[in-house]
Amino acid sequence: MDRHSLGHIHLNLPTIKGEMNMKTKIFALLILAIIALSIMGYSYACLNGGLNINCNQPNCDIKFTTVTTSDNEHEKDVATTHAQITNDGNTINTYISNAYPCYEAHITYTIQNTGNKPTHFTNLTIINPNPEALEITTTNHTCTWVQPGQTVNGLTIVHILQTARESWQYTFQIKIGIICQIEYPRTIGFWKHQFQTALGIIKGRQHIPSATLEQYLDQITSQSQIFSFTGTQRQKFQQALDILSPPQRSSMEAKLKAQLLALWLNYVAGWTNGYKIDGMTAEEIIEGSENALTTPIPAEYEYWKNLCDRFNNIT
Amino acid sequence: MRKFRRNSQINKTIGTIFVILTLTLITIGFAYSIWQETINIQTTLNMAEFKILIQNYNTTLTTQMPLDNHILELTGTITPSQTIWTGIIIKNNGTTPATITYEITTNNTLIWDTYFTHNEYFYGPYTTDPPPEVWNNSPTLPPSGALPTPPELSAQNKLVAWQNITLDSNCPPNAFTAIEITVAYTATFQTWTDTVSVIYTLTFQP
Repeated sequence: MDRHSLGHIHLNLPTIKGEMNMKTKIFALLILAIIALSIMGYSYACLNGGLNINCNQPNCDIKFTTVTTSDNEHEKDVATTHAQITNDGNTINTYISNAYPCYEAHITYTIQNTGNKPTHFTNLTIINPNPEALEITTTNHTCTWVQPGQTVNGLTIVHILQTARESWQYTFQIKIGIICQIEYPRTIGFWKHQFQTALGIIKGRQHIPSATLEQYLDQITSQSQIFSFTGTQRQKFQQALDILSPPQRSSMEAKLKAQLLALWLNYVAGWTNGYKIDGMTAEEIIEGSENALTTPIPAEYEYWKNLCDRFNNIT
Repeated sequence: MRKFRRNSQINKTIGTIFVILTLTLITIGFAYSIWQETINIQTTLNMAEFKILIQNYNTTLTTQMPLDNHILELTGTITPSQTIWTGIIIKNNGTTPATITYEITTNNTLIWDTYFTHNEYFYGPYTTDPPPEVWNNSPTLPPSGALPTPPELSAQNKLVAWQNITLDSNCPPNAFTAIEITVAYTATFQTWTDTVSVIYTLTFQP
């Protein structure tokens, strides 16, 4: 290496260091800019109602939203009843003080489905260790469905019996059990896919086993006035697929039958529970559609077809 | 060989982790698919207290203090034309209002009806101690402003009851030797009752 070249290397070292510094600075600036933009975005979101990430995930939640109390005292105000809802909305704490025989406390409450799936009241349990002193009657919501956003009202009446002891404390609890309908009706395309994959027409994942599909078709055959699936499993599947896939320019009757069969399949799968369209349950729509087809009332075909279609596409 | 053994161990570890993760996901999925919740109404109920008591008394007889503030036992003698005055302060020591009634019973109804007269005078209700003019500083008995029947007594309120018992001047010397008279004041609220009593044991002195 000659003298000249050594000098050249020597001269280039600060340039490399400078480039490195520059890259670090740019990188730091980039990170700062990202952080600043994120903060600005977040602040803007907060100013406009908060940051929401909606991935259309099932959200099951039910809460007490209001509670009021009253009693049967008209002239004298001796006993008092007050109630409050806990912060999580899952409990109403009621306090009755200075109670006496014949006193009746009324607790009126509202329950709201604050999630995005129908919920179902499954059971009601009254835990009253002192039935000789307290008579408790309460609204039984069991078997009631609550749609998202919908509210139901309830009333609990506590009646103090003659045998209640003075200067005594009693407690009781009412437990209301709720389950959420995670499942939802599937589209006609979903059902076509199941039969196509079961028949080996297309490759893909079959969500519902063939045995279950056959069970569904047998159930429909026994309950429906329109559909009857007979023969081997393959034959039944082919019959179902033919109904679910009407030709492009088919009649309204064929279109109605296609949507109706999809609704039937959703119904027997238990995926229609809790859902309603125009105030009608799947069962009512099936009944109306079959009535229109058996009577027959061709003028109503389109109406029922649309209802079935909307129900199958409810989510 | 060593390499093969090490690979086998790694595979085993990965397999275990995979199984654990799968089980966890299945558990979470199952738990989520059967989402269920219980909402509660919890109630705590405190019952009222119902109790009246004799807070204080005044009498013209030799007396014995009640043991439990529920019974005032008075003993003494009575002569024809004599009037015995007794006053009591009844306090509603409970947490509910009380309706007061009174009743007189004796162990000798015939003598009582024939030779005795009795009057009751009520004052109140008072939220604090009764004023002196109806209690211990009354210029005459009974104090003025009496009520003919006991007023309703709110919780913690007080009532003054003055009563007199007079033996008729015409009572023959051999009419009776002794008589027991019970004046019972009963407080009522709904089905609850509580009673305080003034029991006289009077020996006849002709």
